[in-house]
Amino acid sequence: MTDPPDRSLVTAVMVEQDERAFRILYRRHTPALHRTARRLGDQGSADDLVHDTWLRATDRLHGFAWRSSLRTWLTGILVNVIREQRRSDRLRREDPLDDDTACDPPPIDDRLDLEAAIAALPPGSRAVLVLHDVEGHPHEDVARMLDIAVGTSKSQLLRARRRLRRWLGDAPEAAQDRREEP
Amino acid sequence: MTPDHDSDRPPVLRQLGQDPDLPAALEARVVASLRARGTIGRRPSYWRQATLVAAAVLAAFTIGRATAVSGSNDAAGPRWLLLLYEDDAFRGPAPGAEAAYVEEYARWAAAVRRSGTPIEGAELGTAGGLLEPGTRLTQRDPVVEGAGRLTGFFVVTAPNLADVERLAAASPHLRHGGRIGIRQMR
Repeated sequence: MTDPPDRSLVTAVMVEQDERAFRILYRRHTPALHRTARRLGDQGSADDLVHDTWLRATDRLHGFAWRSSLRTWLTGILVNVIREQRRSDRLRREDPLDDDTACDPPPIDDRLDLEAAIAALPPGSRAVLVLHDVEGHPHEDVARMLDIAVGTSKSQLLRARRRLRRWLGDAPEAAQDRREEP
Repeated sequence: MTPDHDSDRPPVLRQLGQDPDLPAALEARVVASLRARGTIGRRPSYWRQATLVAAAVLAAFTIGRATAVSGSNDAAGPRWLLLLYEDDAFRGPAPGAEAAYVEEYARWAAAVRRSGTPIEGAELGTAGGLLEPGTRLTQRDPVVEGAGRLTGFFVVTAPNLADVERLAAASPHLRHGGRIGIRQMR
């Protein structure tokens, strides 16, 4: 028997404070949230970021009008939690999530490590790549979450993919890269 | 995600999104935090909810009209009629407690609406009657055998009967000894 849809579960949480319904929602959406938090947030803070996201989301459920999927809405909250974490972190030289400055390639030992390559991307490109290519959010949703234009999302994704191809060597995507070049 | 969108994602990156990352201890921590806030695990304070719905409460059941189809225009699913019946066992408001009694129904309806389920409703007056085959309108309260007097209704939009049963079960009408008939509207 399949679990109920998101909307039914949200109703059960809001109207009846149904813990079982919340746990189904949690297990359905937390893997994607935690993956995104690991790749976009500070090292070791993914659990805290996901915890804060769920607390903030449940506080705001009454205002969610279902104009997007619940997953997209939750991810948008997570992105804002990450932004706030970066703003409050005064120990590191932080770039905002929407910045896309030049960056150093990963150390040569990690050249074939895809996760290390993703982590070495500038925050802006990394965010677009993770949200679009890894987690499957369309550019319209990515742009809304990151407060950038759709065109910016697309161009940052292109730059991120090209950097990964250069760093990772002759990956299958390199062929696509060559096709895209004029 | 549309098929076109999926085909745009490099397979090696798409595969990273399949990792079922679910730290076991984190769920217990999140659930404990939400229980401590009262978000899950127990009934909320009705006084806290009352401040949220006070602006929307007009009178008994008129919150249904005030919030009719105020939910998302994207609400999916058929419409359901919740018929409120009362018989001699029904416990109405004590003298002087009519306002609180009305507000109890309004808070429940507001909570349903905030959850994303469109809801509308009205109290039914005594004017009217009963039509039966072959007869003219009879001027009396219709009494439905086994259910009682029909005194009100709500209309909700929900994808399935299980959802309707769940939200109807939380209605104060049942706590007061009433019955609720549910019918899908065609």
